[in-house]
Amino acid sequence: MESKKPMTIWEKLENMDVRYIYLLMWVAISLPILRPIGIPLGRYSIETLGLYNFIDKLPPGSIVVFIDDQSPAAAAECHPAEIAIFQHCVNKGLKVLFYASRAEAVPFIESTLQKVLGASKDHPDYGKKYVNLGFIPQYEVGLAALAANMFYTVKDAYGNDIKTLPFFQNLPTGTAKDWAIVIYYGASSVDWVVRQITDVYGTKTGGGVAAVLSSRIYPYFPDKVVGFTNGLKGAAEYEILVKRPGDAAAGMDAQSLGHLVIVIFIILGNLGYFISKRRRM
Amino acid sequence: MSLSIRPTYVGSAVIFMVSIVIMFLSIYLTKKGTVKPKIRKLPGMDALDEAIGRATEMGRPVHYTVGLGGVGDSQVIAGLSICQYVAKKCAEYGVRFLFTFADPSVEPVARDLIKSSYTMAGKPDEYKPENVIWLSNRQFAYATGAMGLILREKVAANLLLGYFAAESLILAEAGFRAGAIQIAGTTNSYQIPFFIATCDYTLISEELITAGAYVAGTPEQVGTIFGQDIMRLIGLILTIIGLLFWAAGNRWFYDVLNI
Amino acid sequence: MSIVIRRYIPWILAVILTFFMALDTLVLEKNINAYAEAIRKAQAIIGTHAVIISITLFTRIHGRRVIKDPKRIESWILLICLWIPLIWGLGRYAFYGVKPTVEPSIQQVFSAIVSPGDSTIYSILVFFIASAAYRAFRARSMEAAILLIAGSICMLGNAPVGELIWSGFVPLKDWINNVWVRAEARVIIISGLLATLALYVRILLGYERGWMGRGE
Repeated sequence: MESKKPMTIWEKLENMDVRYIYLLMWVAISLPILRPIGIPLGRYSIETLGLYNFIDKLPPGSIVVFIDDQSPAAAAECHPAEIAIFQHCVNKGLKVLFYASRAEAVPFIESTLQKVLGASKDHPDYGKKYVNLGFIPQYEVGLAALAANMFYTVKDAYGNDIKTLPFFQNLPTGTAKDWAIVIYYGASSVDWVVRQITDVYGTKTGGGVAAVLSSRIYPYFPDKVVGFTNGLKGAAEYEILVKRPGDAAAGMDAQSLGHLVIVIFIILGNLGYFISKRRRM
Repeated sequence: MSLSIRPTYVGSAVIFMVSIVIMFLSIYLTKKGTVKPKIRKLPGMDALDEAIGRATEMGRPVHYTVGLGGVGDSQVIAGLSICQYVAKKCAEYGVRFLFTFADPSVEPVARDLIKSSYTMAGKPDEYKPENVIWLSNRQFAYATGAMGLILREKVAANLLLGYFAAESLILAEAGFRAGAIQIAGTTNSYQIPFFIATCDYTLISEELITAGAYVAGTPEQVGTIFGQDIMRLIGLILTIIGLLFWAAGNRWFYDVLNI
Repeated sequence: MSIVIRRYIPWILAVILTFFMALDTLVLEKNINAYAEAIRKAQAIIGTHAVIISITLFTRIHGRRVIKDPKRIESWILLICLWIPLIWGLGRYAFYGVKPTVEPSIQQVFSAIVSPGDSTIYSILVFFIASAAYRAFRARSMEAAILLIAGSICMLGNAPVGELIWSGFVPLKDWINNVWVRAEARVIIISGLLATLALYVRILLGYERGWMGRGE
């Protein structure tokens, strides 16, 4: 009976049990959250700076529209960005119109208002500077309808007639032409926003998106999409820029170590592959 | 009745009408035999028979899913076209065919399609409604359900052809753990890399959409593929012309296309 | 049901509606736009009603399972989790006028169970990405080597630790994103759109019938 030759270290590296990878990833992600390391964020990316500079240059009173399309899963990356960007808008005295393009994103609007202003519908500036329209269905069709007529929803999320709200008084056209920028938060696609807003009305688009969506946004950047926060790192950069470090900044150590562990395993796997291959030959 | 083209849509209207004319012309020329376009091989589609054969030998089921999209999504329509072919083959070979989906609007179409595939294979009694499974319309509930199904049933072939978002890697890794041969396809550009990394064969973007026509192979269907290639060529020529104009500092061509 | 109703009527409806909706997209005319808006609303309502079909079939399949074998806990849990919130939400709306999207108890269930559940499953991706990258990023060929190098550069460029290791990762990552990823995304989007156009022409001409359900 032929005895099985024990695996060499290189063969073990080539065919490592994935449970070791899972274990090391778990340690690499959870340890920095429990005990932060404080790796410096480094330089700001051009995507984040593009959005920051655009918003920074807007005159007070400009209308910024937030489209919440984030699921609870994507919220880990998008929600910190939304909070930071809303904080920036509040600091600059901009008017912000919120709406959710999916029903499950509605609580995130409420959470953003609470975390930045401390209150939502009860805040003194609600209705004057900030309005929450709640859930508008049908994604592109809903946005097209809102862009064509800002009074499309009739009521806001809390049942107030929007015609009575100071936010909607004295609008030049009552369409998306009055908007300074539309910012999309989510992980599905920014194409429909660009198609309905930027292409039709010329209003620029921005993004607080999950990193996985960034490859889809690059064709539009920087002409139609002036800037976007690219995943958790972009959200962390924006938090630091507005001097409001939050969940994103706290997660950067975990992201760093996680990426490092993946790259180390890739290198080890390739080392094992090449050396084993040479030995077999 | 006052009729006018929407502002900034003139260019789109022209391109739309030109595209339709080219498509019809391509179909006409291919049907007439004037043009005999050759379609390159799609390894993913050619591997379908291999996947079903593997499932037959191993006595394990085939899992097919069209992902998250509804029946109006082009990727799901393409996925359903291929599903028809796969279901018929599975019926012929006596392989258990498991079909999962997330959007409820797919259900009546899928049930009818799979049932008629079994009937065409001459085995209407072998169609089991409980093998067409609606898991959930929530993305990750669907992913968890499909992952569990793939691992429990130890599927021999995992076919992921439709609209996928973040759950693509979850399903593909589950298929890998089950030891299945995997063929995947989607037009979501940011999920394609995950499929390429984990699946044996990947249909990238248009390959998925044209797969139905590729499998059918009739002159009319091949004609539409030829038409889309002509449109692509026109797009390329316009891009090069635009590039030359732009490099010369002239916006005229850009403004014309942007009307 | 006759073949005229099953095959030809859906197809004719699809052709008429396609051209009408295309007209609405391109043209500004009060009546056409109003009818198109009504059709879109109808589409949303019909799509939502497909859920009713699925709930019925779901209940039938799992109902039969629990009748056959009352010990099937998972089917019991499924049926309870499906029907109790449904009846509760509809009841609250019918008798108290509280919409399910703002009904506090349903929002609580969503925030406490569904939302964390979604986030948990999404976070499984971190392990799967690690194992998939370890397995797939092997320099077996020139293309695989390029994929491996580009992937590693992007991963390290996107994490603050990459800049600490070498400051060149970030500009390289930016170059990859701005040149290669941008070009790739455009190609995939354009080719996908052209293929979709071809697919819809096949549907309009009746060559593609999978969407109707019936096979050849």
